[in-house]
Amino acid sequence: MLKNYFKIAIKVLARNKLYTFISLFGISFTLMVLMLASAVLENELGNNPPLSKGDRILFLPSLEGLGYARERVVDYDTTEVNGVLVIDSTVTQKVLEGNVNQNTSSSIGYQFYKNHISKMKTPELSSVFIDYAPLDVFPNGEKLSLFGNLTDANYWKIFDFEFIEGNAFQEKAVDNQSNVIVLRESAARKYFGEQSSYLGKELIWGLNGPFKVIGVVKNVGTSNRSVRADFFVPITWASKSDLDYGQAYFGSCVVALLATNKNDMPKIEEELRTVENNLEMKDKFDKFNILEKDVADVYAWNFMGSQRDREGKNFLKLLFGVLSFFVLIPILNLVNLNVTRIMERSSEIGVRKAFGAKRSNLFIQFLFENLILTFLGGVIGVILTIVVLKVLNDAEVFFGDAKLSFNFTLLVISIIITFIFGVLSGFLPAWRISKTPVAEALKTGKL
Amino acid sequence: MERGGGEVKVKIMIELKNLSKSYYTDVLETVALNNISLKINEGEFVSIMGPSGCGKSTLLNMIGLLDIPTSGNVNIKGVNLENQSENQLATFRNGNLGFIFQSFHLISDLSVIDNVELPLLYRGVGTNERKRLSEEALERVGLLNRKNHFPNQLSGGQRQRVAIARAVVGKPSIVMADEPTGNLDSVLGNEVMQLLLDLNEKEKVTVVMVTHDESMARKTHRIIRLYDGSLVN
Repeated sequence: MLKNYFKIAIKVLARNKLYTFISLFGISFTLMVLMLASAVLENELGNNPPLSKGDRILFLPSLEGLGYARERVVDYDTTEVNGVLVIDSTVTQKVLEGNVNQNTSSSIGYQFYKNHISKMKTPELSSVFIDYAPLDVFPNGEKLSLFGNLTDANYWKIFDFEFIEGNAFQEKAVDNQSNVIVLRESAARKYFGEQSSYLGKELIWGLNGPFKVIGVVKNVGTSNRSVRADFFVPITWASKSDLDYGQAYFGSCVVALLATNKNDMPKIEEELRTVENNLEMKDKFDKFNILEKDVADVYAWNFMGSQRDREGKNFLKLLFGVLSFFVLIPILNLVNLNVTRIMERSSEIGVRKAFGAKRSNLFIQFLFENLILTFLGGVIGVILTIVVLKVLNDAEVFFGDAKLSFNFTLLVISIIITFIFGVLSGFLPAWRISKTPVAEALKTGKL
Repeated sequence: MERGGGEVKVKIMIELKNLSKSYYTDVLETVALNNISLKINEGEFVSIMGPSGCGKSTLLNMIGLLDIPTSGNVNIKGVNLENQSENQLATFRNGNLGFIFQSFHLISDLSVIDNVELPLLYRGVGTNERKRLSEEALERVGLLNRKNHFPNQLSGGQRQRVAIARAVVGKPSIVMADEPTGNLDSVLGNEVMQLLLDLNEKEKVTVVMVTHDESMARKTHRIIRLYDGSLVN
């Protein structure tokens, strides 16, 4: 019986080529888009090196200083001096809490990190670094623009870069301002040309002189600037004026905090609030806000919101909404096609019932047709996804080094969803037709 | 209508009692069949005649359990089919009835042999047995050589012969034919009619046929005439 259903399903699909093509195209294309979107997200937000601990990392990319408006308050007082009434006035400034009239935000200063953040109790580790600093170097007399991170030693403990060769620099190298550098694979190749090893070679950084390559890391796929750099040198190479601007607590540093476990993230945020409240106010600021972001917030910042907002969750919700809408269109299309097609087959349903088909027989038949259609759509979708991923990876569309990978869990979920909708869209009209008397069904169709 | 003693016993195959069928719209009640009582014997070949719209096909649909009467009941082979569930009726049709339609109603997606084996499929007959019986039925209508063709590759006469093969493959006791020659010219119509007559004579299958064609009807044992949903005698 099942073999027969299978045969019928294949024949029906083969004979209604246009319908089959449209349905298959809808299913496979939708699957492909879902798979691609998930691959991009997985690349950005999945816990891949060097962000394997991504769900435990909180970034502090900026600090906000607020100044509140002030009201001039004049108090009059009268005293009698030697029989004469003297009016005395006292002028005071009243701070209007919450009435912001000065708002400055910038990256964090190095001293602020040292004095306040590095002393926090909740994080397991903290790291301070300057991210994505531009540097022009001139290998063989030609200009090469690189971006570098100036980091401390903890940086390498929080971000688990994959080393192709060599190692990261340690505290000592940072403290001694050693001329050492860690290069990204692609940057090493650009600077030195293709070599079997880059260890021990020297990169010339302008007046700072030669830097010895002590490690080469694999390319990273994420767009997160905290880890996407061409080179890494000790933070002590940063100029004092870069580290601290000299106004309030501002500077050009980013801080990364590592929580012991995921549940500690809110506790870290709480402690940050305590740090804010205990800060000594300076330079006419009345309030400092540390603006923290997690990995998803940092990614969302590329698309929406400001440095104040933490839009990671909203971004994912929005993306989910857009994708759902995208899936909805082919599903509705499938429902529509199925309804029309099954209506057209009312005569077939009539004949089958006349010759003894029970309702369950008809359902299994339509279930099979949809099962096979969805399965074929799934297979084509997977092939399309693999091809497009390969093209995208080869063309280095996503930040050059992104390696978009295939997410099997999502594939299975998508196929199940498509199948459920396919079945529903086949079932509902079939159920309706199977309820009409056979005579009626036979009257409407012509075969 | 059983005759006792030494005489031949005639069994009643189909019995309709006070059968009525009305169709309702919001404002109108259309009476398609009005209080029809009828008996058809085993092995009888009955034709139903009447002008267009008099209820012939409706009557056939009632007998064939393809539609449900508004009142009255249908009794086939001694089984009262009133209040039977949809699935029970499907099983009953599958085991006892065969259908031939004016517009053939072959499933265009299926080959000739797959169309023919349809009733056996719902009876749970095994693949090999289905094939054997279907080929046998096709041979009887002279179309075995066309078994792998599709309906749209056949002429009208051939399609109706396939439909006859499908109607008889399950060896039903009754065959319902709704204007089986209506879409065919007289030569092909006669061929189809001959197949039905053979079926009735040789295999003692009870045949109920709706027709417009007086000459075809005259070849049957009995003509039932309908006018405005009522029997005319």
